[in-house]
Amino acid sequence: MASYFLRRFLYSILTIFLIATVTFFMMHSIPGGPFTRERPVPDEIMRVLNEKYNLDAPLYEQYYDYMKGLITFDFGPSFSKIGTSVNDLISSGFPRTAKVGALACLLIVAVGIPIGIISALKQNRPIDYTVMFMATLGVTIPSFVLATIIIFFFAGKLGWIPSFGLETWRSYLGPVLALSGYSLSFVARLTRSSMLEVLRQDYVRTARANGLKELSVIGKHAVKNAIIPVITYMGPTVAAIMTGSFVIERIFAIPGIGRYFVESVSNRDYTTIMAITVLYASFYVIMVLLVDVAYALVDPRIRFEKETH
Amino acid sequence: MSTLLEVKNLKTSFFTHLGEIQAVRGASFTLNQGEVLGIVGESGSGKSVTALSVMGLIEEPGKIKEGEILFEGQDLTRYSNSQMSELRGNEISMIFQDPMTSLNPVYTIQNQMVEVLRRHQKIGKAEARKRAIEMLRLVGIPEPEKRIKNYPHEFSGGMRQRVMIANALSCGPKLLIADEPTTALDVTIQAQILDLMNELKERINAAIILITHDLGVIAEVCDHIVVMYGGSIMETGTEKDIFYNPQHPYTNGLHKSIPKMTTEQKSRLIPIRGTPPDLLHPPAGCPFSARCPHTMAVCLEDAPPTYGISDTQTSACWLMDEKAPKVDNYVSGGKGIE
Repeated sequence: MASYFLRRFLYSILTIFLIATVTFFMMHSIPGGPFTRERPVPDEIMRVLNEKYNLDAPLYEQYYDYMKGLITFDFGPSFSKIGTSVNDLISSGFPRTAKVGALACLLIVAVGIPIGIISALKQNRPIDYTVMFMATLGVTIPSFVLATIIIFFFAGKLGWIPSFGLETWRSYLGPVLALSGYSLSFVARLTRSSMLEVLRQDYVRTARANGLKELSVIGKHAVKNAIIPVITYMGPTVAAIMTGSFVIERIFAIPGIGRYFVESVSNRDYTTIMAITVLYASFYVIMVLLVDVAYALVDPRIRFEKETH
Repeated sequence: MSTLLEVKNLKTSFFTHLGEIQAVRGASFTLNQGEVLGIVGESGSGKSVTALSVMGLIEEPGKIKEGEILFEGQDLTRYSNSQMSELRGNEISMIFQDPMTSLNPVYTIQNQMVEVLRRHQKIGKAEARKRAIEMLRLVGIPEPEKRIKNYPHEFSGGMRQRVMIANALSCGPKLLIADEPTTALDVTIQAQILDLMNELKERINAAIILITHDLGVIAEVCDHIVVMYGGSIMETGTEKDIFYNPQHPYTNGLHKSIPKMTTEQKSRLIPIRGTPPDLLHPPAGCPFSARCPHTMAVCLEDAPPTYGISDTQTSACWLMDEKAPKVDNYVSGGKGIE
């Protein structure tokens, strides 16, 4: 088991390295650069800028320099915010993004799974129809529409929540709800269908035939089996939500890192593009690894290595 | 011997969107303490639904429409689900057809057995574990102290069925219902499981209802046999009655369709032609009338009453009526069974 995880860890690092490499060359292949403006910049100024940031060196040299920095977690200077390093940008923005993201993930799991279970237990009853109607809405309504509606009603009309920033606990309500809307609905639907499948299984009938209380039949015997697809879905979802959303952070005016996903690319802010990509890739790889660990904990039939070699 | 279970005129239906499927249409039988009753019939004859009705495990959209299930004199059809759950696994246990899927794959055998024991017997974890190990030893699991920590997927099919039996018997039930316990197993394993049940029958002092579509299985274990068809009981009798003196054309048809090892010359099997009745629109008369070689006008119109043939044997067939013509050769059909 330990050697399996060591191997997986090394593969993860390799994966991140490859992603960083591909991203590096892809972004440099886009025309323009960090200092290209609509009005042409005088050649002399351009030359000095490029020289200062070492952008006039051959690409392989820039790549080598960048990777050298990356190993020591130095993401370099920001091209759009002159004078600040990308490390500073990330370390000031990421905690805010992560806080909203973590709350959203918590909400997805704590609400999505229970309502999915209830819905399955009350299949084809009014409560099931209501939940599934809401969940279908949640999956189909785009996050920017949901965020705008939340701002319009709860911040504007009713004035229950602030419309921007993260000053009080109330200000988290809007972004957390808007950020979790889609995944929460999806998890509810996923849990419901998985539960319906599991409730038909023979071992659930056995649990009932053994006279176990309904709470144990559902809570112990059915749920643990039904949760596996939800775990699969939650891995990448957590990675995506924890690194923020451009739309949500824009609408709720949260100074997080979500906006860099779009802004850095349009600004050709090379170092920020790289940092954001590496951060997201790392999160993703870690989550996928955690999902595999969770599988093994939930389902004993999944083992990482053959016992005999 | 006193009566343990008495099923009276049981009618169980499933109310689907197509209409009412009458899975069991008035089944009556009794089971004495310590006795083994076989229920035999083809798929869709209502044997499993009868068993699930006794267990109180008929799920939506199914419903026990009519009848009584008297267990030690108490009518189980009046019990609430939580009252029934006190009995299930404790007084009445059940094992199922497919041992591969009947145990929860994500919990160890110990976890599952201890849970049942602690649910019904007021004992601690260590005591429950000790008893679970004893039960596993009784059903022939080697090294039970070690094996109890395993997960279901670490057992073979036959071993899993042994675990199921150990689990079902762990609380010392008065009645064990075995629904096709050997159907999903290899023939050699089938024989082992039947031997085990035969052996346990002596030791545990529980009455057993053995449900199967396989007359061969029934012959080895059962004292009494109920033959079901189309949701109704066709014939009842002792093992001898059913095998050597079958009175109902359906029982007879079953015998003729079984290959015999003892036949000297080559002979064809005689299948029962046709298909079982549609229980969504069950026939007005005898359910077997459409396939019976001796159908009379009355068979199509009215369901036959149950005729007593001897103290132990009954047959629901109009041929038993005194006004019915004597049918010669059909009784002899059973003689080929040795």
